[in-house]
Amino acid sequence: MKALIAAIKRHRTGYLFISPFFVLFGAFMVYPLVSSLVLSFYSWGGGSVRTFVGFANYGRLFRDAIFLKSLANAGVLYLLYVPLMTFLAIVLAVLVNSAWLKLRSAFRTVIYIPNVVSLVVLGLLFSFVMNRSYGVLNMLLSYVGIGKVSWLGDPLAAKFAVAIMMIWRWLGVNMIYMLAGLQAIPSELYEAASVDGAGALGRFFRITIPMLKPVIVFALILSTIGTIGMFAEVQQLTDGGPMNSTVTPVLHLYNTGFRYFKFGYASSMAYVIFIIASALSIAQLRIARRFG
Amino acid sequence: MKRFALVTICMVALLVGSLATQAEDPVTITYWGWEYTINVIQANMEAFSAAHPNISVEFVAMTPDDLYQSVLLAHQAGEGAPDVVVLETKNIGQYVDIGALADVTDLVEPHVADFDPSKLPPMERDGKYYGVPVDSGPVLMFYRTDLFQQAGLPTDPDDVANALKTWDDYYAAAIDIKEATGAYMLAYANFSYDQRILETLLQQRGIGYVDFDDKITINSPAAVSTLEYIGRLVSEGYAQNAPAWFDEWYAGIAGGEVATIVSAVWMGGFLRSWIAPDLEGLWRVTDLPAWAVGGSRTSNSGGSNYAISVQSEKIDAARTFIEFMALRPESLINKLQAMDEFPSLYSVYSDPFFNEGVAYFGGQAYYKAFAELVPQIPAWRYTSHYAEFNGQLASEVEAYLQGAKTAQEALDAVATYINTNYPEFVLQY
Repeated sequence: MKALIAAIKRHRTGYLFISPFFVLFGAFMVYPLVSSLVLSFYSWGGGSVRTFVGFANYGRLFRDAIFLKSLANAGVLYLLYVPLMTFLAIVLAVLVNSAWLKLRSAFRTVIYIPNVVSLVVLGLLFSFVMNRSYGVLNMLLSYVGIGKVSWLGDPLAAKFAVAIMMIWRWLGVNMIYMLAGLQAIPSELYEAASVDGAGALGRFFRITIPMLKPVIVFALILSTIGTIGMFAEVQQLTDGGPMNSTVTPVLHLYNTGFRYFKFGYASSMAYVIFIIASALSIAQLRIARRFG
Repeated sequence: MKRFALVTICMVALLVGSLATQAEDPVTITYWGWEYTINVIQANMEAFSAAHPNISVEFVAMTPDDLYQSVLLAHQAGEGAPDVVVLETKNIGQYVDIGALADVTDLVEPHVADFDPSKLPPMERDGKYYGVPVDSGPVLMFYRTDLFQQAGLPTDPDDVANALKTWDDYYAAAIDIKEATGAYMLAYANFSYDQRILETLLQQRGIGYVDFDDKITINSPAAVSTLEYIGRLVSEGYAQNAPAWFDEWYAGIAGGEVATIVSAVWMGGFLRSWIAPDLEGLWRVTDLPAWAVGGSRTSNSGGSNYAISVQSEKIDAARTFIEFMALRPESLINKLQAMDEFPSLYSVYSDPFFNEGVAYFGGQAYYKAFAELVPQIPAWRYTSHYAEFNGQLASEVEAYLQGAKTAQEALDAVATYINTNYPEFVLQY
């Protein structure tokens, strides 16, 4: 202990320089995390009365039909948009990386721009695009003979609406990840493959994708966390409806805490969501490692 | 010696100076509300500043959602709450329960008999009042005289009230109007809708989520039949499937696609200022059809109240402001004239302004039509969990209207939810 204090004293200027970060981190990350954990064992309506309820809040989660539905919704949404989006990201990255492409940075910028839009604006924008009578999407569909789809009014269509919105939004950043991953693939591999007679498709599926595996796993994990944590854009677009078909875990958490004033229960929900997201991420890492 | 004299003179000067300013301490109070409420208050600010030159008001506008969040957060943070805040009747219960609002019983008590009776219960606890009612939202039926005429229906408000005595008559009129003009009778969405009209109709029958004896009434036979009535209008094609306050809904009203709107007095102000100013002269209002002959022909939708935050250090100035804006008849008339904010204070209804004809409504004594029916507004229990109950109702009714369950199942689900989460409310049906 004495040695530790002596060591800190010796480098005190250094510690002083890095301390602002830790102070802020402690105040805005650690304190709320701990405070929320404590709160999850209480029942608190926002006023001055706080009742200790032990694990009652956690038990309640298992009986909360909307919470369970939100987890199911997150799962369905994940399957609806993540595989397609990740695949498209790889394809786009390969195309943008091609030697024969002109105006490369223009393409990169345009594909990335949706990522810069605020989530609330995103939800609002797509609520216009998906409007049944006046939206652009139904207009385009009518040109190919498909009738008006009630994107925001039908429970199944609403899930597709959210999926479309998420692809539009996150394709850009996923493409950037893949682009970065592509830089790490040695070109000798491709040359060797062409010499052995592999065509473009063969090279893509036998070299590019396997070599991108670490990046793909990384992107999938981020997508998992992002899907579970989806909130602002869904609240704007459908507010969880119709019939709770697009409620996500964090949206339900928000409603429970900030609309219904059940802060203790909401805190327990937050922790369970965190545990689920962590478990899924770890599981994905393990599976990826197993398939070396 | 010289320095001593100088210091003494300075101190005396400061003392005298501070005494002089204490007589008329200028005070600034903060007011939080959504834009509409600020606009109507502005109609009175000149008079207020003249009467109370030492009180200035800092207005902060935010959307209702933001407002409810911000008030909650400020209360929990222990600082930053506004002096005066406006809260809708359906939300105020939550804030009284968490102890965010100051006791204003002495402001309210002298006028208790004079307020629209449905206003006071949500803001009362143990005989004390924590808010001052400002406006009510008495509900009437807005209808298009031209569409009614084309369908062979009367157009004069009294004639229409006689022709559409019950909701069965309303249904018959819906059929006629659809045939003659192709227009929908009303807008009722099966998605993204908070079921305001359903709640309005339930209130008309005196049915709430729970009654004043803590019994759950949302799944009573009468409630189920009300929902089934709406279900028929929707499934038979007499309701435009456009959620309120969205593009299609506005377009439907302005474009003549709906023949009636079941809404409150403030809708008049919205119609003539921004929703359908071009339809001037074509709208009238009349009594709602009743559920049974002799039943109430009105209901309530909306309504707001002023409250003072417990954190406020300028309680006197805040009270003066509220008294001026909510309890002074001239102020209430000004607000009514400005944007149709309908006062909850009965004594104001005797003002001659209420007999004036409104051009947008073809010269009808618009305000009088509402004033006459205010005493008929059935009381309704909001509880402080209204937001949650409404959320459940909305998703269950969506399921019913989209054919996923029966009306009984939908309302039973809401009742079960209420009882499971709040066992103090007892299932009855």
